[in-house]
Amino acid sequence: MRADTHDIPTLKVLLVGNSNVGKTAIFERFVDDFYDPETTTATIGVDFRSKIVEVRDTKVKLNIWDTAGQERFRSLTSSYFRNALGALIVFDLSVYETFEQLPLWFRELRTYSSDQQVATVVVGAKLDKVGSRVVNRSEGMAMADKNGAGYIEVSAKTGVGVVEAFEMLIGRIMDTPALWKDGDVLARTDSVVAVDQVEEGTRYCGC
Amino acid sequence: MDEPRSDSVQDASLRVRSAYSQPDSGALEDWQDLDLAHIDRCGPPNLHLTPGTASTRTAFSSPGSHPPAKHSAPSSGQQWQSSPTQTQAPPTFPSQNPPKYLPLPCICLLLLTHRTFKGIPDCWRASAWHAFLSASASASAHNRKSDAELACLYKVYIATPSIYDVQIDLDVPRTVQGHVLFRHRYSGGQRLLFQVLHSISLMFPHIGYVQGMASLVATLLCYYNEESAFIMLVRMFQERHLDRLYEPGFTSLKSIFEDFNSKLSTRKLGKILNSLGIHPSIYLTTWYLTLFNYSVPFHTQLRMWDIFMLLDDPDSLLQATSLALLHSLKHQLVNADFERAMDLLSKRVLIENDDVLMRRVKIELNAIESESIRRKFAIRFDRLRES
Repeated sequence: MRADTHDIPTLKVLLVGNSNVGKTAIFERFVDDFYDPETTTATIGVDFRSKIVEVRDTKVKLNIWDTAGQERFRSLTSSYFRNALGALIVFDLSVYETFEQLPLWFRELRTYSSDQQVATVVVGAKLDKVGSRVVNRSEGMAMADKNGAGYIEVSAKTGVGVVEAFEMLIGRIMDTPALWKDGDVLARTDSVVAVDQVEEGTRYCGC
Repeated sequence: MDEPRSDSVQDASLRVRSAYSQPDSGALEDWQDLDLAHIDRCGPPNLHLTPGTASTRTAFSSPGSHPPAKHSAPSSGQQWQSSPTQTQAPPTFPSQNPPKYLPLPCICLLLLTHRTFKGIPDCWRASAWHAFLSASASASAHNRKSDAELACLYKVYIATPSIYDVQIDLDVPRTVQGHVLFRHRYSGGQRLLFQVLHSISLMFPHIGYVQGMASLVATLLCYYNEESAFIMLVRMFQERHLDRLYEPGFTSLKSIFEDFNSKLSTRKLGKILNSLGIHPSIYLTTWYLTLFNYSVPFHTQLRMWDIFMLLDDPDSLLQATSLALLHSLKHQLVNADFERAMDLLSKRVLIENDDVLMRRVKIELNAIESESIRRKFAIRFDRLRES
C-alpha cells in the first residue's frame, strides 16, 4: 500500500460509543476479519488502523480511529474527532444504558469535529446475544432517524453486518455533498491534531 | 455524562460486589483444576515469595517469545542476597510482620542503580520493589501510612461501595485474559483484581478508577497478594506520583506529552514523526497509562518497572524509556509512511534484547539529568550575573 495508493481518497472515520460495547471487536473484525474474545482488552486512548475498500466502484482508504469508551478519556479522545468525515456510533444491544447515551455521543461529535456535518451510522452490536437483547430494531431505527444517521445491527463474533456497517458509512459520506464532491473528498486528511493545540483551520496531512 | 443516579449506583455497586464476594480462598481455586507440573506459571500470589518460588512468568498473555531474562552475572541472585537493601535474607514478604528494610544509603545507590539496570532477579523482585517504595515512603516529607495501616484501610474499603464498580467490572474480565490467574469469571485472580481496583478508587477518590490501572494491578498480582498489591499501588501513586497521570481532564498527562514533544522535536526521528502528523499523545497515552504493559513483552515491562520502582524521578524515567523504545523502532520508522508508522507505534514493540534496551534507557536518562543540571546551573549563573 505505497505509491499506488496515493491517488486513493482517504477517509477519516471514528468508532465511538460507551465502554465495552464492542468497538474494538468490530474494528478488528473489519480490518483483519478476526475475532477472539480471549484477546480483548480495553482500549486506552486511541487505536488506529487503515484499510482500502471499494464502494460503488470507487476505491477509498479508510483511516479508522478506535477510541476509548470510558467517560474520563473524552478529554483526550475528542482531539481525534477533528476532520473526521464519518463515525460509527456503537451501542450494545443487550445493555440499555449504552443505547440511552447515544444522543450524548451525537452531541460530542458535533462539538468536537471540525465539520458540522459528520456522516453517522448507529451500530447495534452483539447481535449474536439473542436472548439478552433489550433494544429492539424499531427503537434503534427511530433513534438513528431522529439524528439523521443510518442504522445497522452487527455481530463481530459472527461477522454479520460488520462490512455492511462500514459500507453504509462510506455511502453516507459519498451522499453528503458537503463532504464529497466530484468524486473526491474535500477534506483528504488523517488529521492528527495535537492535544490542546487545536487551532481553527489547521489541518495536518498524514497522507 | 455517565454520572448515574446515586440510588442506582448503590444498587449496581452492590450487585457487582456480591458477584465477586466469594469465600476468601486467596485465589487458590485457580489452581485446583490444574496440573501444576505441566504449566509454566507464576506463583500463586498468596504464597510467600522466597527466592525460587516464582518461576518465569511466561503464562502472561503477551504475544511473542519469552526468552528468560538475561542477567549478566551468573550469580546475580547471590549478589542481591548481599545487596545493601536487605538486612536479612531471604525475605518472606508479605507476612504479618513485614521484614524491616534499611533506608537506602546514598553511598550504595550507585551500585544499586547499576545492578537494578541489569535486572532484578525474578525471585527478588517482589522484595526489592517493596523495599524501594517503602524507603521512599519513610523518607517522604508527607506523613505516609504504614503497611499495616494501609492493610486495615483495605479491609474497610472492601466493604464500602464505589461509584466505579460497574466500570471496573466491565474491564476485569478483559484484563490479561490469557493468564492462568485471570481466566475464571468473578473468582480467583479476577476477584483480586476487582477488589484491589475497587479499593484504589476509594483510596484516591479524586481520581477514582481509570482504564489502564487494571494492567498495573494485574502485574502486581503476579508478585503480591491482594493487600500487598493494594499497598504497592498506593505507594506507586504517592511515591512515584503516578496518580497525576490519571487526574480528571488529564491536564498533567497533556503537559507531560508536550514536554516530550518538544524534546522529541529536536531529533531527526521527531521531525519525521511530526512531518507525518503523529503527535506523541497518540502512542504515549497507552504507554504511560498502562506503564508499558500494553506496549512491550512482559519480561521487558518488568525490567522497566525495576528502574521505575527504584528511582524517584518518574517524569524523566518515563521520558527516557519512551525515547529508548522509539530508538528501538527508529530504523523502521524513518522509512515508514503514516499508516505503517501508526501501526508500529500502536502495536506491542517486540524487544529482542532487554539489556540493549535498558542500556539505551540509561543513556537517555543520563542525558536528561545532565540537561536539567545544566539548566539549573545556567539559571543560577544568570542570577549571579544579574546581582
